[in-house]
Amino acid sequence: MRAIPRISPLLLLRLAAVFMLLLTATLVLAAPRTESRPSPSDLRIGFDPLSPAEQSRAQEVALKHPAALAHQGQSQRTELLLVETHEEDKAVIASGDWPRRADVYVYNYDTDELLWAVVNLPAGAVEHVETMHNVQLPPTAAESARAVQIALADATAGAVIRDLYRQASGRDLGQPGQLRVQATLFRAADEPEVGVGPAAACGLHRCVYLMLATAEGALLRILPIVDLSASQVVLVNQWEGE
Amino acid sequence: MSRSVSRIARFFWSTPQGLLSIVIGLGVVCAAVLTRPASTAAQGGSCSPSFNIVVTFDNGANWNLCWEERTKEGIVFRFVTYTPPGETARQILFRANLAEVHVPYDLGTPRFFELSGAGLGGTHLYDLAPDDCPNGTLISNGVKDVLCQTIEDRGYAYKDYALVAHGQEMSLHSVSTEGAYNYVIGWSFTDDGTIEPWLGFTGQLAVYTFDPSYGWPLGVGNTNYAANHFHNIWWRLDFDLGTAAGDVAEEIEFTSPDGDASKRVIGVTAYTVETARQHSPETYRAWRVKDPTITNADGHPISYEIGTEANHIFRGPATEPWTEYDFYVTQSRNCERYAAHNPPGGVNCADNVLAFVNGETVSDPVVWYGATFHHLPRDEDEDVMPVHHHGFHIVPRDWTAVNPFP
Repeated sequence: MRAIPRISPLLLLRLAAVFMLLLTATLVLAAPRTESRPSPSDLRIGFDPLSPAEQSRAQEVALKHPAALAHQGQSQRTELLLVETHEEDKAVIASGDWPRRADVYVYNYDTDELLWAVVNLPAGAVEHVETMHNVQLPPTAAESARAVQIALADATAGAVIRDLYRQASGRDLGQPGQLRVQATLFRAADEPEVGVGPAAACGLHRCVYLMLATAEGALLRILPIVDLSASQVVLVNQWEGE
Repeated sequence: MSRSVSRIARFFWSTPQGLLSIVIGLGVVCAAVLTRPASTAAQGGSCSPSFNIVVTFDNGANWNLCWEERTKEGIVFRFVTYTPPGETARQILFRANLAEVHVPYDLGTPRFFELSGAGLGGTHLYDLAPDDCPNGTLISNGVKDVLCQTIEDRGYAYKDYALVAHGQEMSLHSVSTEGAYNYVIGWSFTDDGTIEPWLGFTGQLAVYTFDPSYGWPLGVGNTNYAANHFHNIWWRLDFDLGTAAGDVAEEIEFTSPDGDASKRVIGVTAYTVETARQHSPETYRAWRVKDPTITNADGHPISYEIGTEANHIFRGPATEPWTEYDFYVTQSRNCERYAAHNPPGGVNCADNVLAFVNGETVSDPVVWYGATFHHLPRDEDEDVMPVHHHGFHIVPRDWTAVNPFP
């Protein structure tokens, strides 16, 4: 029978010290650093904004819902205005656990109806849907571009914009892409003196002010109002002659 | 020298006491690493590390908040929590954001609504470049760098003879294009618990006129007038001191008793129902949200205060009824989110902040703070406008029993 080798207490302590040293080094090196910020991934929780994948999913679920199909009807003129995180009630948040939900907004220019659908993302289900009139969300980039096309196609506004562009840049305006464009909503109720004639429908209709500049940033001194529902310029609004 | 080093090494490696002290010492370090709070974890799983901002200043004060980008509001902050040095972490704000930037021109038109009409987020939000954030850190929303975070010296925290301390503050800013303007939208959080929401206006002037009654001549001669206009800025602050329960909004102001202008008597009024008020610098009107259920070590209820910092006042036409007042306290409601053009939906969800004030009892106050700047353009504003800043302060009152600075 072999004798068990005797380990001295000092050796045991040395082994323990080396082990603790290795353990400490591992823990310290593996600990999360406050300065290293992880890049936003598709894994979103709580109040995180929707990831691109969640936005696509919300859109897909909302648009095939019967209410969305009814809202679309026979119209070829609808626009997806917005998909973003649903703002939950405080009581829901206080519970500490709630499903990721998205608000999806679609506009129909023929009926001037805004569709709002609340989509439960994990369930892939529409949980609330309603349509409304006279509610306008900020214009999308696609709507800004379309408003410029409508303005350029208008005999009066188009001629003035081309003239102002030539004065500002010394060049002829070829493509709408040569313009720097900012669009913001116009509602007749906000400016009763401006919202007259064809502009009086703005608010029920989806209308925008167009602020135009050259690509270099020289402002064109015109602020046309374009009705996207009626596809027409409702006010040329050139500043000369005021 | 080398002899003393080898003696120390011998003590730690060859004596039971030395080895034991290594094992115990490292054990303490391991325990500290394992049990320390995860500094990037937000409260209640409310946001992931990518959307959580945590900063600890040199004096130990700490801010912890979540952020989100929304199409209308731009950047929204949630669960804004402050920890004074060596004290308890407590939430101040459940949600904090801009609620409108209303830009009416003296001409009567145009009257822009930057938040509800164009949106401060989405395509309006700049992808910030390193030049936008010198000495700071860019923070991405997953698609573009939308926030710049800086941590800077803010000068004296206090000085009393030889007793001197310097403070620090964290600023977070984004930039939105609105028409010809660029809006620098910022929030500063200082190590003493103060929050300063602010806006910087720059870019280019947007509207010109030929009528000298409504503008200031820019360019050669006196034919071309840059149009005078307002920036009416509205912030929405949903306070939850500690939790949503127990918060009370109060107004504090001072009057001279019996017309005796040598004296000022303090008056404190609790708002039990929703209220609309005007700025009143003459009576030093201020507001605070307090939680009587939470007290500091002196036994005083904790609170946060907002003073009147107004210099310009805007009162608009009948189509802009909410401009009749500058400060509102409303009961927290999810659907009451914008100062103007609030989308309807749900019971009692009205169009604007004045209409939100409909006699409801306030048990969970939301504060709406309005600030106005009337912009009279000058030659220097062309072609690129120097930044002009506007904001206010949200300041702790009795959050700690004494100055929290160590």
